[in-house]
Amino acid sequence: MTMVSDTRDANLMAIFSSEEAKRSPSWLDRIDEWATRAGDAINPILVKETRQALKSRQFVATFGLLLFASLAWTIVGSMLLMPQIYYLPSAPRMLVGYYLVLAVPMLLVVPLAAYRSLESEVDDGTLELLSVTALSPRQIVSGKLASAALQMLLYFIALFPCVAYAYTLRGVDLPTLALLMGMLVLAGLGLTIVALSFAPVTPGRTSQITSLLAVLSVLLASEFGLGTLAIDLIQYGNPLSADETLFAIVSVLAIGISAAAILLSATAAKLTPESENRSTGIRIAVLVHLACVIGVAGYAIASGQAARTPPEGLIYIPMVLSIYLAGFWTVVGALMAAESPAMTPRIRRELPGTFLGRLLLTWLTPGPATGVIFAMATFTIAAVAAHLMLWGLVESGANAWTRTTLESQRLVLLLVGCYLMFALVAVRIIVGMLRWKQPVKVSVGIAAMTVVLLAMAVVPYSIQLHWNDYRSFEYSAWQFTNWLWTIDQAGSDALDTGVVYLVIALGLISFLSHLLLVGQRVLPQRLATPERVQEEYRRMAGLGPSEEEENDPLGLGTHPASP
Amino acid sequence: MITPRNPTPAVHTNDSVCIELRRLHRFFGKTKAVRDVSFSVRRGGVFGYIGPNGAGKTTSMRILATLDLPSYGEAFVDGFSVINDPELVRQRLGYMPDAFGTYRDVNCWEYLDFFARAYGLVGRERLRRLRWVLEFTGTRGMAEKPIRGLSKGMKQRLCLGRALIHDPAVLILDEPAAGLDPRARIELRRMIGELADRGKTILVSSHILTELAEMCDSVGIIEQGQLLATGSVEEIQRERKQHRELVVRVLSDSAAMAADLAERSTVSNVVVDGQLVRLEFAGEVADQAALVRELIIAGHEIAEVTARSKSLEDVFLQVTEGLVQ
Repeated sequence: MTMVSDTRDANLMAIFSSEEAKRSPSWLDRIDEWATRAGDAINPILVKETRQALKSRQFVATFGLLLFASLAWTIVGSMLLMPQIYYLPSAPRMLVGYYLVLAVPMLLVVPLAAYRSLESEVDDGTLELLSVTALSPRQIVSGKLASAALQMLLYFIALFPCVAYAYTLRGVDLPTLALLMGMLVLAGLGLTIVALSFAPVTPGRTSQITSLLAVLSVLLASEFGLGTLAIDLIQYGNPLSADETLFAIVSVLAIGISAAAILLSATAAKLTPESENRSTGIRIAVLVHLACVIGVAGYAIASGQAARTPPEGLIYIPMVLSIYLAGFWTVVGALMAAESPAMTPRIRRELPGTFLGRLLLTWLTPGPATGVIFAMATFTIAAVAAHLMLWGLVESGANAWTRTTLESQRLVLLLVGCYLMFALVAVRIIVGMLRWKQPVKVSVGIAAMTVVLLAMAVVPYSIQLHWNDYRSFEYSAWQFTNWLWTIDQAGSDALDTGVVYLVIALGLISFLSHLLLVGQRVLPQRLATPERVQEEYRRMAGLGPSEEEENDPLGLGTHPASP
Repeated sequence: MITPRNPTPAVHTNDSVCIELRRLHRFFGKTKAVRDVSFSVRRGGVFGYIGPNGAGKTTSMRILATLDLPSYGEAFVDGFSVINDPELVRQRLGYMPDAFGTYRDVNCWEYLDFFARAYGLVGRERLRRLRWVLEFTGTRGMAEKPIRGLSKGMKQRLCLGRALIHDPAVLILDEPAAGLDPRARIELRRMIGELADRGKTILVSSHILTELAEMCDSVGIIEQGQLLATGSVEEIQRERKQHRELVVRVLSDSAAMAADLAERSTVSNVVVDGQLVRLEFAGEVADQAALVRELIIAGHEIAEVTARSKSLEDVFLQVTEGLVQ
């Protein structure tokens, strides 16, 4: 009897399962399929890092500590505020504690973990395994960033109920709270990008320790700086008006995102082999960043003038812009002047092919020759924009002192441009000479730039000091290469016109000699992409027949290598 | 990297050749790791890359795997340049380095799944490949185990699985048997043999020459960055005019036969050991038969002739000088 019953059950099961198979997929199956598809579309690095992070002791410990600390502060903070908590606004004090609890993982632990993650890919040899897959360096870096963002989100969600509790205690308005949390998230992401850009791509104990110390310094300084700002914001509220706040948010987003794009491109470029174009992406990001900086500065001046702010109140804007331009182009220009001149067929395939394309886009072509041209051209564009801003301020009824200061600034900007031109050409020549002997990294450009700038300032000063038997002496035209002293003289409006002409001549001669040295180097010919390679790329993009279809056009399933 | 004035063509169209190195050079400062290395591997062939430590094997394999760039020269995989079209090369290539990189807090399934995703495999295709690789490498039982706890042999299997996950046509295996116990070596050899039967083109380097001799169609011997010989073991032997060692068992006067042999120009190093006469003979198999016939006609009572052909080890020792950079 039992046996008959079992057989019947088995038959019923078989019928049910076959009917189930015939039935259209249930909503659960559809969700499963959708989730699988979504998972397939996600960056593989994010999937791997999330799996690793959720199992790692570091994440469990940080998450546990975060929960414990927030709970402990909720109890201890509330007890300390008793009994005023019932009738006085108590949110600021509670929120300061929650900020400190959240800031440590967001601004320190997660960026450091992202840095260590990329560094350990190099250390453990897994970066090489990744390099031979279909993942691009940009995907590797963005995957690390996405994983860090996900961890931040988890920490943020964990602390959200506590923040909501603090809000109910009154004393901090919702926009300030949103501004605070937004600032924390953006700062966390920004610091993660900075930390990733520090991760060395070559193994070496010295470089690892140096970069780790640099990252720790940046993170701790940011933790302190942002902490001060956040605590001020919590305790005293946002001092800016609604318009000013909006402008500050837009400016920080525009400049921050464009700067992050430069850092991400540079980090990806460090992971990219020399045979590929590592420069054009960075140059485009630099152009966008510069446009953002000039746009923000221009808008700040225009809105200040519209609000009838006197020129004395706006003078700091072009001044900050000029200092930023000088510093930015000294570093970025040195790196570009030290780029490898190797022009592989792969890079040449991507060069502009038309006359108009060559005319407009050659400055984006990789190489030190175009690097110097790009640096100088963009510096000139930015300097002209700064000049226009200064001119606008001068013409808007500035007083005599302001007028003199603005005129000095214009002169300083001109001098900086000329010195930069000379220094960049010198860096290019020095790195070129070093490259004759052995392969040179792009970062050597920074070292070369430091040497050139020091030599320009120290050599004439030392010679004249020796000439004067080591007694102090006045500035003279002999010091025209001494950029530090000359710029100081120009800032004090004490510079002789003859020296100005000498510096302009230095810059012009450097520029012209660079043009002569460049020759045909900036005009490499585009190479045609072989037909078979084009076919492969079409196939990869899903525009051509697959390899299996090509091997087996009739679909007989005779592909020999299939497992 | 040196940019050639007239760049080599970006693809080549010889369909029977799957891996090709053309005048490959790689310099690290003053060290010339690879000097003018050229060879090719036919489609579906197994090529053994032999050389002492520091000979330049790993450097040339890394160039083929698109992990390094040559100072001069070109390398092609399935017709695509490793310099100009690395993405296309990577699609076709499975690379197993000598050092096995692992991740913390990841089990075997997750490890292989990650690399399957990294190679762009999606949905059911990814699952199918994962199952096949776990089955093929015998790591199905280890799927849920963390990688860091695996034995060297299991790690090597997993590493081979990772190289196979996207079903590449070409495999580059750098010292796959290093540090393995005999059983694991036999297993690995079986797997490589099976892959070769499936039509994969394999470039494998190893110090265990007897194993290479068993599984390779042809070999390349490299020392101090220079390729000293390529081809099958017999071809290399022939090229080098190698002597084959003969042992003749004589029932009559062995000293007389030794004296008779010593007069012949094709025979050298004749040694008498009781009834056995050992000699080195320069000539083909037909010449060897003629020599035996002549000895019998001359009245020597020959009971047995044994010819010992040179092993890969012998060839390697004769070709190389044991120099290290």
